[in-house]
Amino acid sequence: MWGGTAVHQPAVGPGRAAQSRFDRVAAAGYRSLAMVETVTSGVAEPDDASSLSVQRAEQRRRQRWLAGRTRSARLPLGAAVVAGFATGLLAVAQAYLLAALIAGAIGGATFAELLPTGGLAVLVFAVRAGLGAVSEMLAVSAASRVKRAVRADLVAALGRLGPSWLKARRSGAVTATVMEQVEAMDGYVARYLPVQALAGAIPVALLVPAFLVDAGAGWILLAAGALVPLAMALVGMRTAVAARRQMAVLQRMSGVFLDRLQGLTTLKLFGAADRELERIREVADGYRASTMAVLRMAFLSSTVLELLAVGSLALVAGRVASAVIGGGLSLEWALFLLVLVPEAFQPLRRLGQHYHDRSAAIAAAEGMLEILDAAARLPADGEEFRLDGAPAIEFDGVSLEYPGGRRPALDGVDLRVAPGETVALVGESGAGKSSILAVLLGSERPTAGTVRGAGRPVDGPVLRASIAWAGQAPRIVAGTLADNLRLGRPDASDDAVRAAAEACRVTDFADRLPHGLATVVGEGGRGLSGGEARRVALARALLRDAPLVLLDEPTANLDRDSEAAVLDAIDRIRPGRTVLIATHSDEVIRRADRIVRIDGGRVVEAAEDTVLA
Amino acid sequence: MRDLLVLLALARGRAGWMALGAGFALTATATGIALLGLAGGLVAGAGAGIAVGAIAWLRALALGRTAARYLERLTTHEATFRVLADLRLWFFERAIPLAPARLGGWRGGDLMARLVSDIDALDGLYLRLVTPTAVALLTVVGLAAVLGSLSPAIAVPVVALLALAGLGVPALTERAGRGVGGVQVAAAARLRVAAVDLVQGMADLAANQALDRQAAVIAEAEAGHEAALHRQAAISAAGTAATQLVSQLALVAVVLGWAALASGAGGTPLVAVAVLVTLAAFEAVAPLPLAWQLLGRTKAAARRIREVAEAAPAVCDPVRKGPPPASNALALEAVSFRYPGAERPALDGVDLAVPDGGRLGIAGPSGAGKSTLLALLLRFHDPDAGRVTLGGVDLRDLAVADLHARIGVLSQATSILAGSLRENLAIAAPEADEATLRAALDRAGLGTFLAALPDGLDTWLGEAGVAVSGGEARRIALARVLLKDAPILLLDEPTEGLDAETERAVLAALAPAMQGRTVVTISHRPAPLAAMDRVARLEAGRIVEATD
Repeated sequence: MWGGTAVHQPAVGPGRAAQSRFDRVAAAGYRSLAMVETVTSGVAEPDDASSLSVQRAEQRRRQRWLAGRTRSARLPLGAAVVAGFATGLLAVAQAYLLAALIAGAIGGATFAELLPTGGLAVLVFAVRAGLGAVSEMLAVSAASRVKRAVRADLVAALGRLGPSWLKARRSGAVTATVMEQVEAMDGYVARYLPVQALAGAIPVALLVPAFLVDAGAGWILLAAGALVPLAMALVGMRTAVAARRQMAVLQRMSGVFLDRLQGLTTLKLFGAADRELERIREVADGYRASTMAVLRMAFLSSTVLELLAVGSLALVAGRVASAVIGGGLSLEWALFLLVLVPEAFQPLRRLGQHYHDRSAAIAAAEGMLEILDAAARLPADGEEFRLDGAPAIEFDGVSLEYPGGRRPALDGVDLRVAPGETVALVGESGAGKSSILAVLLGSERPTAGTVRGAGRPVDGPVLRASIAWAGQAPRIVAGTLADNLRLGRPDASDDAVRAAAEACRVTDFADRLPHGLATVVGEGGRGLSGGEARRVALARALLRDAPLVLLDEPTANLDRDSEAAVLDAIDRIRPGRTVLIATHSDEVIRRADRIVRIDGGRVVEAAEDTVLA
Repeated sequence: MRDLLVLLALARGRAGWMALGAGFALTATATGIALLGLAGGLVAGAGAGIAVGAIAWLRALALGRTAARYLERLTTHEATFRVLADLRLWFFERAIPLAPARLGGWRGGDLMARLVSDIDALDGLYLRLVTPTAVALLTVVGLAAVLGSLSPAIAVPVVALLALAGLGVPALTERAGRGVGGVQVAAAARLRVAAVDLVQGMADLAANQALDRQAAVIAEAEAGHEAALHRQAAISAAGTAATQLVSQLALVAVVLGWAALASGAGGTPLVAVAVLVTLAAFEAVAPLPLAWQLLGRTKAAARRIREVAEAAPAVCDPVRKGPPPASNALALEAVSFRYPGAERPALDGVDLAVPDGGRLGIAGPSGAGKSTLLALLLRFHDPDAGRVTLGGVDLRDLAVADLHARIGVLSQATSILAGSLRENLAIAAPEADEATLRAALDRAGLGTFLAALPDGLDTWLGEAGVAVSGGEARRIALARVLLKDAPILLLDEPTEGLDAETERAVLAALAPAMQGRTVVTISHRPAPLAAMDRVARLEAGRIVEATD
């Protein structure tokens, strides 16, 4: 929750616990049994004024973004607040009817005399409960609308950022952003925002009948209400410093338990598992103590609210009792005030209960904004164009450096490929072969030099419509085998799919499956081995039928039979297309028109003729 | 239920804290009830001209209630922390003999993640399930006693209505929501798969211009998920409304019941006390619907945790240890092994031997059985047929810890722990001094890496710390192996995922460490195998060729 690992999946759905925010802090806390001493020594002091103000500015920016995102759901959210406010006002009617019933019974009214008032009270209870449910559902709809819009934006942003941005990140964390962090907005929109709007409005509205009935009671409630924000702020400020420090500790330690469990085999191999158990025990105790120290203070804010609520009840009871004795107030109205007091504090309590939804959403905004900001910073893409035939490819002094990278992935590459030529890019792993393909795909942008396809500059993913690509670790997406083959050409006919599957030997394993090409594969379906996935990727490329073909190690990890079959398939793709193959395979090299050797990001040898043919 | 009870039994040692927490919770609720009841009595008494000297009592109750609430929070959290620490330690302890074979394999992070989220789900067990339920039961019993003393005939319907609100309605809601719950879980899984496909398949989707289609797949899965959430929310909102309504009916029942029983015999201020006491008792019943919802989730989590924690380990230490191995020669004799549920054996009659100080390479395509061979050498599993020996002793006659003490493993699956660099090295050599650690880092080629770290050996690595590249992680693992200084080295794809330069550097750092040790290297890359005396090629679980 506090920006840690995606270990704890928040319960999805409305059944989530209504917890105090500090329950949540605590929950996040004991998730993380870890090394308090080490941690606290390593954490930057949050008291540092400048870093604190940067943190605050960042916090404000996230809040603004969250507020902006909820604007699209103004209508259902507004309706939810109106319905919620109405239930608040009905508390007045409810309190009156209840008081009238009690006073009637005390006054000796019979069952029959009380029945109409009782029936009316039941009606008001029912309407109030129903309105509450309606308000809840409206807020849930609003949250749903916001989540869908944000998720769509994230998906679009990720698409623009592409594989090169993702490469530097843990895919689990990015997935968690799209899943859990978007889901964290649910509590914020569906619960926190309506409660926040009502926390001030309802108590103020209930002051009016209180003052009308008895000014003294009104003043007691007004004074208590005025003390709420003041007391909260006083306690809050003291807590905030401690909580922020604890938060930094939490951030580090969140997920450490998972980390140790996942590292259990490593620990075991070193005979260190039992030792680690002892350490976890020690630091769990230390961690509990330090968290409890924060909680002792943090719980004060809800305690102050509690004190004000029960204190005003006691004071109002004393006040109205003497007013009744003095004859200035009827029993009925005195009881009315007694029942009304707890109602006036109810919205404030709910605000306390749902405050953690706000913190969670602000924390979650960090991951979402990182993706959206990165996409917004991308330079504009060049104009997309479609190639009409096998293109010439030209690299002029192309360099590719990663920010923070030790050495450039490409270092002044000059390369010319004639239309229709098949070129084998050879060199050790990491030499830059895949980077050359990535630049043509537009998933990497050269830091220097120019790339041209058919004489036109390649600037970003402009060539994609004309490229068939098969990577080293192809992803099999959830769906049937046929769906996977159609990835690059969704309208391909069944016959074309079958032909591509046969040419790339996908049928070798597919025909053994119960449903052939209609077998469900990928996550949740049958898993494919590395070799099988490679064949699927090649079949995709064949089916895509594009004039420029880029293959990254198409035969690695294949046994000899499959390699021969795949090479035949590549030979079938070649006519009328420009083909670049990054490879180690002697057989691929033998069949290529030309070899280009890459080393350390540079072309070291570009033989005009096939060396081995 | 049994699953929950077993886990609760673990908390026996914390019974004192738990009882204290529940005691304060009950005190807070009881003082709240007394406060409102007394206030009602005071006002109603005033109406009847009876001056009740209750102001001092009211103040005391208000203060008592506030203090009890605060203490409840502190003690229940203290108890929860202690119980959860116990639970985690218990699970960790149970997991040690199970790793990795029964925990989804060495690289099985998904199962781990699920287990941890299951353990997290138990967070609410005491704080939101056990305590509120106990407090609600005791409160309702107490309320029955109080109302019963005022008017027994009224106590019965009121308690019945409160039971309906706190138990009946939530049970119905839970039953109604069960079907949707399943739909929601399935829809969430579909959405997750679509999102994972997007993130992990970005390269393929982008190159094939399939991003828009994947976005549509995600949007569709999301629509299904949101629809399920919406239905769940509707059921839960209806449940909340029903609980609220039924408990408020109890208020009307008190008044009308009283009037009916009195049948015109005149009223009493006690009606006000009865109604307000009932109103205050709602507070105890209100958390029960949530506890009910948690119950289902918590039970499922408890069952899964027990299933894992009580699984039999894949391998057991011998009852009586044999003699220690005389040498560090390793051998597989006609070894076959099939994973449970697999169609084909992973290893099928494999004979291999490495003499003490010898170097054996094992090559082959992925899926050929290389990793399984390594798992058998480390005795993560026992073979179905044949035997694996160390110095002529069957591994089954050795304690697993003794076997591991002799082997240093360098693998791409080696974990870098979230913790300081020092801690990461200390797992291999807890007693090593600073100079030894630095020397090992130097030999592993991490001298410059160490120099660049902000806090040196105490720099935090991994999640929320300094990010470690693949090459650096491998070198840290190498430094651990050097520190462990074991007579046998198992190198499992030691350079997989590294660029050529790093590969050369890691292999160069390994070369002196191989001197005088028994080495087994598994790789499908040629470079790590070059330094071996002999390379065996594994395909489909069989040795197909062996070259010197």
